[in-house]
Amino acid sequence: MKRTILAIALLLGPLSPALAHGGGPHLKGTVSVISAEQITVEADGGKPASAKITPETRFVRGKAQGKRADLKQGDRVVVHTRKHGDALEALEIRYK
Amino acid sequence: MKTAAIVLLVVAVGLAAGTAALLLRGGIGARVEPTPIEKAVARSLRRLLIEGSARGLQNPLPNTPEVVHTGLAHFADHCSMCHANDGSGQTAMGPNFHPRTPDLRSSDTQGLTDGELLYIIEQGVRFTGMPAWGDGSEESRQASWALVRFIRHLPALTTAERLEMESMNPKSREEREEEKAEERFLEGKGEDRAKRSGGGHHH
Repeated sequence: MKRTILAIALLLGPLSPALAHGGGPHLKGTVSVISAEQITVEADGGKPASAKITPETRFVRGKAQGKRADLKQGDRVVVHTRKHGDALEALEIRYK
Repeated sequence: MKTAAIVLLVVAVGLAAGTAALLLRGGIGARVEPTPIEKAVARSLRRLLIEGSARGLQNPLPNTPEVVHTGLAHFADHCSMCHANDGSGQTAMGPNFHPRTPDLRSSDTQGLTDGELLYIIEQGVRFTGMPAWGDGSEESRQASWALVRFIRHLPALTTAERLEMESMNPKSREEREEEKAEERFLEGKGEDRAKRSGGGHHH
């Protein structure tokens, strides 16, 4: 069993950056706009980036479950996204 | 008699051609969405083809927090890359399998018996991405039964449990460094410049 797992780990090792995430970029910045449908993150020196908020979007405050109402303009967030066509969907929004 | 045989032959060839066209529409690629008929047939076949003696097996491990946690740790290390820590199948690879990686929290999976779940873990499922994890040893079987306990727990998985699993997921050095950078950013330490950190995560 261990040998099998090791072989799979070695085989998949080079792919590992792709495995833990949902297929889109991580948006790291401060909240510029947040609504029930969308969050826009302002990156310092970069373009604002938006992601759709869906019923599946998870809000994580520290190590606990949070909610959208926790967030306001100016809060630091990291948004894990996945691509949906040309748009991004927020899988998880993390904040302190 | 001869006419009937010809009609039967034509119908059989037509059915075979129709099935082939349905299965191979869009070529051999995995991007094409499985039709509802394909999904229904595949699910029914999966149940039918699991050996009857396996279906009725009872989980010998008690439903305790310790056993569930053993399954949680094993799942995070071996299963999450396709199934996701929460069992949703929403990973970089999950939605690109054909058939798609199932949501383990759904009734389609939760409706399987413990024995059927064990069989799928140990024996795998042909023509899908599900490998056979069992090696015939008692150690492997016990690990699989703990996974069955954890799969039953998935619909009630907490945020804290999911975050604990993230710390157990196989990760590259790059990913661990990015996690630390994100944590520092959220704490307002170290990195002051906010940014879109997508470079290594476009898949």
